[in-house]
Amino acid sequence: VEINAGDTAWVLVAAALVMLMTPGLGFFYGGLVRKKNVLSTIMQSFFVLCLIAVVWALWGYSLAFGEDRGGLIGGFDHIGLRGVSGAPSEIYGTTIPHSLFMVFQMMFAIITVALITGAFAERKRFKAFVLFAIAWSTLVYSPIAHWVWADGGWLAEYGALDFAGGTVVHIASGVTALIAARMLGKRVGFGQEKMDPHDVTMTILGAALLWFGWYGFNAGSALAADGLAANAFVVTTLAGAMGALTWMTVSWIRHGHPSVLGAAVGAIAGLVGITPAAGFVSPSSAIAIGFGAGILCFFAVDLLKQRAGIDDALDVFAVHGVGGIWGAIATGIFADVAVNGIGADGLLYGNAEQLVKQVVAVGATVLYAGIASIVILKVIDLAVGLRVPEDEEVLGLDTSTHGEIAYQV
Amino acid sequence: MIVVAMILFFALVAAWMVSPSGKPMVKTAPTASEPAPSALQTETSAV
Repeated sequence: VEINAGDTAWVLVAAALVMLMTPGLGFFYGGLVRKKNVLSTIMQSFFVLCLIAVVWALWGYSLAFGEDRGGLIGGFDHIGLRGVSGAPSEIYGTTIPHSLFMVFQMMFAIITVALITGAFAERKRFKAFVLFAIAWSTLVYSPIAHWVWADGGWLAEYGALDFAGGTVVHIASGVTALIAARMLGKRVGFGQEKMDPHDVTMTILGAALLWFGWYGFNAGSALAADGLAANAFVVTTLAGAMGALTWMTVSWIRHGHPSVLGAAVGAIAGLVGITPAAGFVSPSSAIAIGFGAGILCFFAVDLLKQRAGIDDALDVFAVHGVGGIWGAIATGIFADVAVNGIGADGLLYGNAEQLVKQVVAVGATVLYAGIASIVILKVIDLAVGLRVPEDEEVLGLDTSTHGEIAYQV
Repeated sequence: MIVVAMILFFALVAAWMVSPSGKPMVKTAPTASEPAPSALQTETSAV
């Protein structure tokens, strides 16, 4: 194994791009909340960036990518980054330094936890959030990352395809967000008072940063500066664009306006949809995947908020959960070995079995992330309480938890 | 060094757990170096 300078340069940049997604997510979410909670919302993303970086280095990476233990989890051989150096791994990203592969994966671990915070918005106790982030990253993220991406992981061995994290990142975080929203309960005044986004421009800025970072997320997952990375770059662009166009159109038909916020959220839905498929599908398939994500996620928001009455404050499940499930299944439909020889053909190319494998991966991720999250949240609720008292929630978390105010004008 | 790093990390987590929480910021009269709160600021506590 020998280090390739081009691959290394690209993955270094890609890791930095994925890092930027987490503060970008903070802006995306921050604009969507009321102005009394904007700092607390941004803080959740920024804090996760710092917290999970350390957790990942101390034990998270080892549990995800250490030596396989029964297909379920990694061992302790890389604890504290032992054995992770500037030399390439013999297994992962064999043309880049092992430490670079580790830090690239660290950025994924970080943003996955940050995504869930949209469901906690405006009511979660900060201490509970700290404990949750550590526990969830350790007990849910690392094992699922091992199943899907590690050598010997059971879903990887089974043949399920997930190029950049449809199951590991988006389904796991989306399902957990739904559970968390249900367990936390609705915000005070939900359904009775307006809870409109306080700054849509901030959300658009966040969406733009997320989209920019997504090139590192998807094209970087090729772990090389090659044609596969370029294809991932192209399909990422097309799916994001189609997601935005589709959501905006449906929103225009249903609500009478081509919503700016709808275009931004639609782009994110399209980007989520293409994530697991980015290394396996053609540009035309990416257009279909983005279209599907725009439609499905739009109606999922409607269904959850209006019909089910679940206060997933920033629509994490509807966008990341539903978009991730669609993307994973779409991978089983549109995957094409002409795009990636080490992938597989999907249903459209005569391999229905791949669709079954994708459904199994979705089911396993939903079940495990859901059940483990219920247990984690229940234990934390008993230990420190999940939710702030009502008077603190009404006052706003910026003031009551952080002792700061976002806007001085 | 791995043990030291672990100890440092868990010391921080322990400190967060015993630190005060939910203490609303008490706004007193503005000082000379601090501008008076605007209408937008005060609105946050009126919701």
